[in-house]
Amino acid sequence: MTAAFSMRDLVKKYPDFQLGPLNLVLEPGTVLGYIGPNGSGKTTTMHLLMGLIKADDGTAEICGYAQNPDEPVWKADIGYVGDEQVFYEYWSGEKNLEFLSQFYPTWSNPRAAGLAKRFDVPLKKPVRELSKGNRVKLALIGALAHRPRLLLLDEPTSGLDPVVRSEFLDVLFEYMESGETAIFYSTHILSDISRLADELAFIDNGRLKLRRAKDDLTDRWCKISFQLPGNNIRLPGIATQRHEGRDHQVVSFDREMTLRHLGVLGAENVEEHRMGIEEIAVQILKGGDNVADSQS
Amino acid sequence: MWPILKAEFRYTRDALILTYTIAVLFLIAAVLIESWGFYNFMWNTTITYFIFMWIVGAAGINEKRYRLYTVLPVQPKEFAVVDTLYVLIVQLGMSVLWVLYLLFKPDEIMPGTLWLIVANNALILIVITMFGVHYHAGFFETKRYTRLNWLLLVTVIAAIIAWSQVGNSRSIIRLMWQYYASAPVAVALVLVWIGATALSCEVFRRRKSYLA
Repeated sequence: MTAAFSMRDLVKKYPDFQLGPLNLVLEPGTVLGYIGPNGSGKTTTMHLLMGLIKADDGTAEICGYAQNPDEPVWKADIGYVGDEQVFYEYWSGEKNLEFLSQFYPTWSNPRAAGLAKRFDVPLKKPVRELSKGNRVKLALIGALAHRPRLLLLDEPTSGLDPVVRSEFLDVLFEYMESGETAIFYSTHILSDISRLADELAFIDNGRLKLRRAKDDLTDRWCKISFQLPGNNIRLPGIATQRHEGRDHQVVSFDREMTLRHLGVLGAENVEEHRMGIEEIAVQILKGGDNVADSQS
Repeated sequence: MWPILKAEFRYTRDALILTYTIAVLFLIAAVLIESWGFYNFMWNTTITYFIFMWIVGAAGINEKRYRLYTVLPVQPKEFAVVDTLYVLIVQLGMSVLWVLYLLFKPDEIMPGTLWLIVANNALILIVITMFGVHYHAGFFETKRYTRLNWLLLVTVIAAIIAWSQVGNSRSIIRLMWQYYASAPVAVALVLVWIGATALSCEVFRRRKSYLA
């Protein structure tokens, strides 16, 4: 089956920042969470995929089409909610949706109306009078009404209150159940991702550090406390380690390997503590290249 | 392309109505007041046109219209053509008012008047197109282009100021009637405008970013 998107050695250079080379493939029906700190290159990646900026090197394919700006048929397969929601500001939401509908052969007015009702967006109001939350909802209606095969969501829930955020995620859940749409979702609100994502990709300083299935990460990463004499114990699969006398606490990115080794060393009172995605993400992003390298 | 052009006209309808109302008021004044003259009337509509374009253009940039279009499955060159057609159609509307003025005051029609209208239209469109080139070239992301770009802007502004200062003097008018209001100059200016439009489309297509 054709990938929702694939990037090969994609590079974007700025005077003080370089993104890539990025190699990333997203399969249909998958939600890939794209996680990184501010300024790590998440939005630049989204802009590259959407054709809002041009890459300095490398290639990308969207739903089987080469990402050629002069033959933009590939854009018809994308639903995009960007870091900024851009509309005709003095037009109503309804008029903006009517404008968008002309460009997508698969656009469904009943579907757009259904989503608007569900989200309770005041479609008759000029867009410039809408709240941030309603603007994001309107953008999502515009992105979903033509049933895209790929949804690009660039920190869509940042700045939204928890109720709106929850509604937003509910709609995405339902949308995922109904077909083979792939979602590429960048965020630093990790609770969103832990609900929605199948896989996670971590980016820092323009470089992709790690990509893993979410369940695999939560299975492998854990905190382990144990007792063992000595303060210079070398354990495999460890991201961080600290001790006080014979009490040790480590964060492991390879639970089984670490536990096996502790067994060999004769550690006592070994206790495992599960880690949430948020904790794991922090460890990966601050853990330097060694964590990423050892995981790949 | 056509839905975008249609949307642009629908979106700016109120501003267009206001602009043409002002231009028609100038027409009425120019027809009723003997000393007003064709030359001054053309300047009135031209300044009205530039103010309108400046306001509409600034609003479009402020609302990040190119960013909106870029997300759509439409070729970038089509947006460039939309821009060209929009400025052309609005200016041709002003030309209709020039022709109306001459119908009311046929005694002001001279042998070169037709070519004067063609040449003026082309010149106005060249200026507005060069502003477009300047804006799009700002997204080339290199220092060399940035310097060239600002040089282009300063040159165009200096040319406008110089023209508005000397254009109404007797000797220049004589010279203008002799050369400017002639078929070769009018055709040459139209060709320059076509070239500027092609340049604008190409510069737009080569932009490194469509974020604004």
